[in-house]
Amino acid sequence: MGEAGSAQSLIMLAHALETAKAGDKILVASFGQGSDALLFEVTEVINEFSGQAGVSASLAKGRKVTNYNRFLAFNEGIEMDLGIRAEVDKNTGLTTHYRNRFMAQRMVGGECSNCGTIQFPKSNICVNENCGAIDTQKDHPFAEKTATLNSYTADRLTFSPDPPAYYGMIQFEGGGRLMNDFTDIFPDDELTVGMKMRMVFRVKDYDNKRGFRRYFWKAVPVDTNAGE
Amino acid sequence: MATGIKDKVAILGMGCSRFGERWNDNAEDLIVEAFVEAIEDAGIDKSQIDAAWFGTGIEEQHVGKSAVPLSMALRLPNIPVTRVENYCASGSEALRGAVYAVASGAADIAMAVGVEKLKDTGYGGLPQRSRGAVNDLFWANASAPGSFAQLASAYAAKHKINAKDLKRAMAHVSVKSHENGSKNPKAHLRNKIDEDKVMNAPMIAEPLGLFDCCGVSDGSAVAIVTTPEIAKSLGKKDLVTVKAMQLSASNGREAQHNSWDGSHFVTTRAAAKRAYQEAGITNPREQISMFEVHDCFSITELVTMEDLFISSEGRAVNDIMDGFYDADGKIPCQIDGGLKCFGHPIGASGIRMIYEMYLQLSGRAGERQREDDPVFGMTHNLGGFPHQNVCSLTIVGREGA
Repeated sequence: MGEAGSAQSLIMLAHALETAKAGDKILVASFGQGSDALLFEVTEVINEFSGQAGVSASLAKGRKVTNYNRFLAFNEGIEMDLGIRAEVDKNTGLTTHYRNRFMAQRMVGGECSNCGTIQFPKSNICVNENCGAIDTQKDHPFAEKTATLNSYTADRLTFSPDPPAYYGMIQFEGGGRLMNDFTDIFPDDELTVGMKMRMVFRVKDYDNKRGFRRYFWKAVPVDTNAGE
Repeated sequence: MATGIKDKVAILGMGCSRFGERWNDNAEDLIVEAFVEAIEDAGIDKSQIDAAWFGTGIEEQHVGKSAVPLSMALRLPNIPVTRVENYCASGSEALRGAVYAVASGAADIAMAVGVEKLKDTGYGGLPQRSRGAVNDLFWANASAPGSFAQLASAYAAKHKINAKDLKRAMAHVSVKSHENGSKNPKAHLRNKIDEDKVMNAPMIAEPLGLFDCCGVSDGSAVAIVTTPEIAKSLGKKDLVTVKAMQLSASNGREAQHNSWDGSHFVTTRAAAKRAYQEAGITNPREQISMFEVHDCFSITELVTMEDLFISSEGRAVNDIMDGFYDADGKIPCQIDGGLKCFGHPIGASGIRMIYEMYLQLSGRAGERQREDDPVFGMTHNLGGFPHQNVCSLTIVGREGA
């Protein structure tokens, strides 16, 4: 799974919590340029943990990369000629990013209090042509929704560090849709209109000039084939 | 509804540069090439042009911003010149400005110029560029072929058409355009191909292969328009007049509301209804003589034949395979080779489509000329993506028709 940097100790904590019982004490100690030590005591709430998410579940859904050059390419072990489409300046605007943080980081959309239409992103004017109400949208979370695949492609023209780039229109249960990047699609996976997708939070792109890593949500099939 | 544009404006002259990889020419050279043809065709002096509109899509790669590059290239005498951009429909947008200026009486003679010069960028396809600061936070990493390719998956699912049958019809679209382009001395691609070559070509964005995609070309096109009365006073006969100009822009329904199935263009259907009404056309399948549509990708042309209400929904595959849209079919589509083979210099394309309609209606299309006398020609110039776009439709035809 690799080395997660400053998040490593928290991933280890999450892993430990999967098998923890009420009353267990867990010491989290991290070391880098400085050191933190945190002591936790597990409570009864741990019994409500379903185990569906988390480190073990993520590892179980993982894929093996058996091509060593591929591994090197993903981890900057070799210098890649990424081509002209990777050269565009991302021009990261931190104020743009901060202003839109709930949309881009939490995947919060809108629910119109006038007509009930659920939409992403949240906007000033309701997208329902029969409504069009202004300033009626309440926050509505999308990150944990299941979606249906409406259309898709495997794109070999656009830049992707792991071509082809899979993306398509997904339609969320209860309303809302997004032309969205997909991830964790392997050559032996078959995409079909109507299949179920779920959302994962991933790196969207890198602004190498400014050292900024942009994250957003990507769609993955709910049912994936195991192994590559 | 407003009374519309029908027969208020006539085409006085048109010009079009050769499209292709124009390594030895700047954008300004292409503009002048098209302009000289148009002004000679119009038979006027450039001092008689009251106003001009300049359409170009990706100006940062060639002429730069504003209308000044056009005014300087043609040494226009300080007349009003407006630069317009509306994705790949920028050329039609320039024509709309010129036509509306004449119709309003604000100008006696107006000019629309479109140009694009992108081969120097080194990109295959359109250049990669920002979509806007907020959009870049959440839009998919989509290319043009990848966006349009999705029409095929949604169309096949909706109409329960076997993917291979759909791909075969898409291949016929491209084979037909190459056949037509081979007869066009100004076309970028003049080679003939067969369906197997299309079917077996390298994949660009599934299911679009290389020959399902139009390329990007360097080129320019010019239209000079005036009133029918002025055209006649200048000695013009057998006028080609504007019957309808309609534009429709997405409002977010396709991208954000679950009432669109991804298999067609909401904007094209909305604009088509208005365009036929404006032109007084009640049965387009019987009345339109020929089309130039925005065949950026083979699947776009296929679904557009339904969105323009020519093929009934789900039946475009049959019409295409029956040869209905071939050069010798009932209604030829892309008789000049289309974007696929004439080429696609973004800002010039909308005006290039009108250029072919004008040549055909004037009986000047050379080897490509339709034998039966065309009455109405319709152009469809699309910009953007299937899920958010602008669609510009123009109908031109014989005066009085």
